[in-house]
Amino acid sequence: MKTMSVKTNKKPLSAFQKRKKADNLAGYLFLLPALIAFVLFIGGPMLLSLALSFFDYNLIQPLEFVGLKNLKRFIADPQVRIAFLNTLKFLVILVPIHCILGLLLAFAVSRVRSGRMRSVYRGVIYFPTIVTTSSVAIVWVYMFGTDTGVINYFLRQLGGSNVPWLTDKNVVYLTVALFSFWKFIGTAFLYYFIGLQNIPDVYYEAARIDGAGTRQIFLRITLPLLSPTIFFVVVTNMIGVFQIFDEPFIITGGGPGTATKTMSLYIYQIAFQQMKTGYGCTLAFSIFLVILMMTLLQFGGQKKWVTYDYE
Amino acid sequence: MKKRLLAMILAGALAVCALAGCGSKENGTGTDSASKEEGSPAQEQPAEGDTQMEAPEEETTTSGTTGGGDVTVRLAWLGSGQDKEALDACLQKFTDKTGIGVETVYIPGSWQEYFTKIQTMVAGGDYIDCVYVAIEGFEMFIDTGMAAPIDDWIAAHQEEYDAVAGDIDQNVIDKVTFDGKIYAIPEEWNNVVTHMNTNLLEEAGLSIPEADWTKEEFLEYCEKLTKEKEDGTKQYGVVVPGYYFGAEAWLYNNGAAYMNDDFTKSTINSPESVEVFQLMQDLIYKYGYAPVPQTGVDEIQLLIDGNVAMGFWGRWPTNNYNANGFRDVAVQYIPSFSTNQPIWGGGGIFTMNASKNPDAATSLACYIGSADFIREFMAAGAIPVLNSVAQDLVSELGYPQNNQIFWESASFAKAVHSPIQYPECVDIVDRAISEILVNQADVQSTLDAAAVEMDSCLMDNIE
Repeated sequence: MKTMSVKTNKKPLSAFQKRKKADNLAGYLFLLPALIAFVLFIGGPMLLSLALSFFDYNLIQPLEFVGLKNLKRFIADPQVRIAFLNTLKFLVILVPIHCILGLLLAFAVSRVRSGRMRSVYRGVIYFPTIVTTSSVAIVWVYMFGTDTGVINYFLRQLGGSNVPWLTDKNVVYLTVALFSFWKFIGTAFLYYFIGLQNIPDVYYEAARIDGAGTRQIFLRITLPLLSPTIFFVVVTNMIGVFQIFDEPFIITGGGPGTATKTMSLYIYQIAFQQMKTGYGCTLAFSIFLVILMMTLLQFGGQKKWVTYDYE
Repeated sequence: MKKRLLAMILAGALAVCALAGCGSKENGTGTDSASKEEGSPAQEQPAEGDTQMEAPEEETTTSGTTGGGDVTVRLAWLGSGQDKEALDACLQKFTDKTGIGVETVYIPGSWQEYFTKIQTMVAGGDYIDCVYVAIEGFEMFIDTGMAAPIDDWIAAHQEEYDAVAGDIDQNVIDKVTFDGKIYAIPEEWNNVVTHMNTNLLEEAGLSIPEADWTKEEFLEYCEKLTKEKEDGTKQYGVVVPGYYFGAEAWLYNNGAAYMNDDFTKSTINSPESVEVFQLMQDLIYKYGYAPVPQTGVDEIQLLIDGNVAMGFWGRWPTNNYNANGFRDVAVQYIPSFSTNQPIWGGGGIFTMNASKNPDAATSLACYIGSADFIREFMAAGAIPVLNSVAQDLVSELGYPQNNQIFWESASFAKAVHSPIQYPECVDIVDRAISEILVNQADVQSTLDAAAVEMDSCLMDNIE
């Protein structure tokens, strides 16, 4: 009887509700391809990676359950501490370089009056980004050679002495930073440049009428209105630097010694050179957790400084 | 309504495309049966994603010969296929003789990357019949069960096997024998010797040293060969062997090694070992005779260009010398720091457990190890394991001077230490070498730390 009463109490859907339901269904269908791709290529492998970290596996022999052995090794492994520390060093050096210099470059280019020159600058700055990292990194390695490199050749011609670009554990960070700036600044620059184009001119015009200078305009108008882009660039850059692999792998090989051995490089060595897939997954999951925590913190903090309301 | 319908169809098409991307690789061009039958080269395209987590992937090239029968053997070979015409020409003779086709899969990269690729191919069901394996992979291929013993084939083809193995030193055969079973047909080997640019020796008024030259004589050579050049660059007397095989060659000549011979205990921090690593560091920083080792610098090219007078390699630089038309080079044994114990490392063809045609695969391995194949294929590069062929081929090339030292040590050379934990040990040794030679770290404490780490790796070998 109760069921009957429920049935009888159910009201037919209004035209608006029907439309809303159909819209929802369409929305979910649009999401479906991305969801399938996420489950297959990101979510599924992540869960598999977590599960594999409890096993020993070399791709050839059967999986062997080892419980927390990989986690214990992770805690005791001195190479993990070295790799994490080096990754943090890269984070401190590279994120500000990309985020601050990228912004300044974008601001400078956006102020160029000639449209043609603006396009030229944009092309020149973005061009290195589209070149394959490994091919240009090899060229940079030759350029940075201590005795035979072209950079030191010119330094010697100018009366200077050889700089140990790749053979000094401190200078090597400058070397990687120089390469990274040249290679990847274009991405941050482009985001900022697009962000700057989206700021309505009326704000600038109003500011100029009120007598504001370039510095004031940049600090009071550009920066606040560009804050969503800045936030995006900082988050994506931070994630990218946490996963930094190409530069140390090709330019320094993680050296000298272990000076530039990053977590991604260590994961590669363990999982693909030593074929310890289980421990490799433990390492990969640890870096995933750190990135997740840092990103959540940033999302929490963004409420205090990111402005989404232009009006 | 029409728009919504269109959107739904598009979404469905996208989903289908996404799923289609996960299809089987069975029809990939690299292993395509059609291309195999035609014997035409085919390539797998590398993934060129720019994501920073991605390990660099490289192309795998295939080439092959076509036999009259149904059997085609898949052979894995290190390299990018630059020598595929020469290899195909040699393998065609095998095909003509036996009717067995050969598909060669070229895998570029370092030995480690090559082994990794084979492991992933096997794990992915992409079978290989036989594989060229260097000494650093012997234990791994057997321990993981990827390689199969070939004793049954030997018993059935004793004459064919003896024609090859009878000319190989037992020293080398022992290295492919595990638990009394033979797993491979050895093909080539290398020792590590001193290469000298004879133009620079002549300029310094030096001749090729005696075979048993001492550390003092070596330092004297280094001093005389180090000088400032007119263009402001430095000519170094020597480049230190900052790699696993080369550094252990120096250790052997001082009665030291990375580990004991049953791979259960590290000896990398023994006093004799410390002495050698200290000498290497001193050559760079105390005496200034050697450049600081650096990633990406081709040290063989430094010798060819006259920027370095002496270096320590096997016979493989003869390929570089050939490519550069460079002939002004001589070789001599490594200085006797306290003894003279040459090192060796080599390679051979293993038959895989998963082979679909193990008999045909081992026949191919035996052919690759035969005099017919080696005489035609190996003019320069490594030293053939067949003694008679090695003597002929090495002297036929006509250089470097004193080249008989390449083959005369085969019977008493000691194999480089290559336990199943070889990748871990290489990583430990490479780090220690880099810390000592580049970061000027204290030798004793660096080697002590390396020994602790290596011991924990080798612990699994203790029964």
